[in-house]
Amino acid sequence: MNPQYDADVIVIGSGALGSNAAYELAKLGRSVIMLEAGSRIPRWKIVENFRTSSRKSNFNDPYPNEPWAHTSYDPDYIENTGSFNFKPGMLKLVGGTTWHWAAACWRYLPNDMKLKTLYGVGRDWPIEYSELEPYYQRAEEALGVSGNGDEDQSGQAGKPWPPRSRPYPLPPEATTYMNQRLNERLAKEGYHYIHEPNGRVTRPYDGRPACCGNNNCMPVCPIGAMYSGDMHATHAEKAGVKLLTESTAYKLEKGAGGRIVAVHYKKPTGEDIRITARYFVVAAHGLETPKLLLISGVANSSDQVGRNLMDHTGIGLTMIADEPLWPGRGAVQQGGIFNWRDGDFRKQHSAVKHSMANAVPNLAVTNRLLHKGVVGPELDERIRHDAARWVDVGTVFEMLPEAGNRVTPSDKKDALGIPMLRVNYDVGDYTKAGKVIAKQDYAKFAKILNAEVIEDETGWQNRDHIMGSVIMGSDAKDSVVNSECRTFDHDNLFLATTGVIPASGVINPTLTGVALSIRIADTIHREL
Amino acid sequence: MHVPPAPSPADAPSSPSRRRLIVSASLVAAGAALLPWSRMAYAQSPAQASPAELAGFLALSCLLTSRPHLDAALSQRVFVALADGDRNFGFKVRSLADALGRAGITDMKAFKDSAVDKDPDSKALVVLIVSAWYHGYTGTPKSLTSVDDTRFITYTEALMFAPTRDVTVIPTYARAGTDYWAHPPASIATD
Repeated sequence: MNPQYDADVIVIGSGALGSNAAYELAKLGRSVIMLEAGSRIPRWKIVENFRTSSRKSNFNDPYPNEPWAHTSYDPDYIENTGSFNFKPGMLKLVGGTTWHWAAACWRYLPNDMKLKTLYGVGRDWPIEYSELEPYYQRAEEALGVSGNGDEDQSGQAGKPWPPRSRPYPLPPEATTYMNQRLNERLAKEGYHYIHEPNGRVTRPYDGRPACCGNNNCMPVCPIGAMYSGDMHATHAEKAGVKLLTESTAYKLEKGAGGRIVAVHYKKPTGEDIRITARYFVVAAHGLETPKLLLISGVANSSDQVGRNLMDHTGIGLTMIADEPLWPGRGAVQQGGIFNWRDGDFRKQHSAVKHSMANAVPNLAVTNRLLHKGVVGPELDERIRHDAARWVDVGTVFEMLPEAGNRVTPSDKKDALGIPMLRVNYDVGDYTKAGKVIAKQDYAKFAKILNAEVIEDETGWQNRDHIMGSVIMGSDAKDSVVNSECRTFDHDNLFLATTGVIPASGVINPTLTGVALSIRIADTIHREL
Repeated sequence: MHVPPAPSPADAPSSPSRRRLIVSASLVAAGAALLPWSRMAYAQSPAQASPAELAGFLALSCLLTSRPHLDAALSQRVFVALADGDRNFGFKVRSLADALGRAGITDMKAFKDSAVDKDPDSKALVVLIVSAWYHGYTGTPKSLTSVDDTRFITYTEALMFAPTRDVTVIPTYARAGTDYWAHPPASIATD
């Protein structure tokens, strides 16, 4: 007699990656159960939570923080043992952390995926760009990406790059007045400003309205113009996926022949439930996914689960320029400087990306003035003057996978008795060498804009792009998953997380994660 | 079967608990004049504010922020938040108002380099009160943690938005439709 299963596929995690995988499988007629540790709350409540928050710069604050489903800023959730306080802003609710992500939707370059071969550092991807390209296209169509297909996104002012099989689903939004001016002035000095492809729709698309510049992509788009994972969680449910909220997976159960046979999960009520499936997809983000594997004792014959943790650890520059530019009109970010995205220099130092922020700067501006003791009529005048000229550059660096940068289960446990996270993270020499280059750019930017530098020594900053922690490779001895995102140790266990990314580049990894997740769905469908 | 422990107040979602705290503190403050001391709920409650004190704080806030009018309910929220944990706050406010009076400051144009400006404690209190009105919260936010000492006062009425209201948005609100941002603001020539 054939064994009976609760579902064809169980997906653990209802963020953008898990929800897209679940949706694709359901569309193909597969039965899918999707587990989500957090709750489901509607957009309007998150917007109201934001408006009544006293911590407007804390992007986790409007979201549920439950004893059984913490946000990453809960003091007990991540214990750090390294030199850097690794605290990405992660959420647990239906839709996951793309509720607050500013929706950058870059593709990797072909060269990004051959880092070892071309530049002798880090690791190569086990697949080429051309294999991923059709999935990038599908991911862009799923997320409703607006982009400029005519630019050389490698930042070298060459032909349109990377190659595309079809145009972007949506045209780019208009360039802000600020970025027009910055582009004009920086271009004269050889800096290539590139538009950032993004998941904010520029006309109605998939039930979403066009972005009209509410300037609150982080922590929540009030109108749903910006993509968030809850959209595909809902699509998945409508296509037949059974979504179980407040259901925290804590154990993947091994069976005969190295196959995973069941997942065990707990409810806040204490209920402990076991469900079975033919395939399993863990899509619990780049920290929780390796933790689940480690506490389950699976997929770790390589001893690489949780290791090679990478962020695009960054630095920042704040200046007051010599002309009114008026950041804060439009979305919170729109593009940046990509001169150091790719080139032979990657043999010596990390790639570098500078992004120009476009958030309404009044809080930072006012806070600074009050700290300087500015009050009276001068305060209003200075707020207007400085807010008009505020230039906030966020810089990210390429990282290399290092075994000592690692996430493991903590001794501390959540309300369900499940271990929370311990991270050991240091910034490596390759990235430190990139910082020297970035600081040279900072000095040039300040000179070009004839600017007063407010801050150019921020120290290392979190960028919330978790990669490497369940690393992809071609060899089972040094990697956790193969090129299909299938664990080497268990044929029916796939990992849908940016944690598989073996070479970080400098671009926000979510679109790549969604592309890989759609590909996982195709692979599983073929085998079922 | 493992039964999770009941969430303690510290574990509860931060926004609602904060909201409860503010609401209850405000109610206590509003009713303070009517309550005998023995019925005060909490020793640390900043409930001593009398109507006269609140009126004085509102007038002081108008002076310090150079506004002819501020919302009385918001003023009370600011007072309650700043007085929480500082039983002398009411006294300090009265002292500051007296000092401004002695210095003859009826307009903040006269504040710079005045005796009050030069007194560090008075200046710190001025900045504290002005900060609450401009930021729309009290306390000091800490990054990367869900725990700090901030208290919400207001969002859209935070005074920091007023000087740019004709050009940018209060985030979450919209201005002029898709792609309006391609054009410089009307005021660009004089900004």
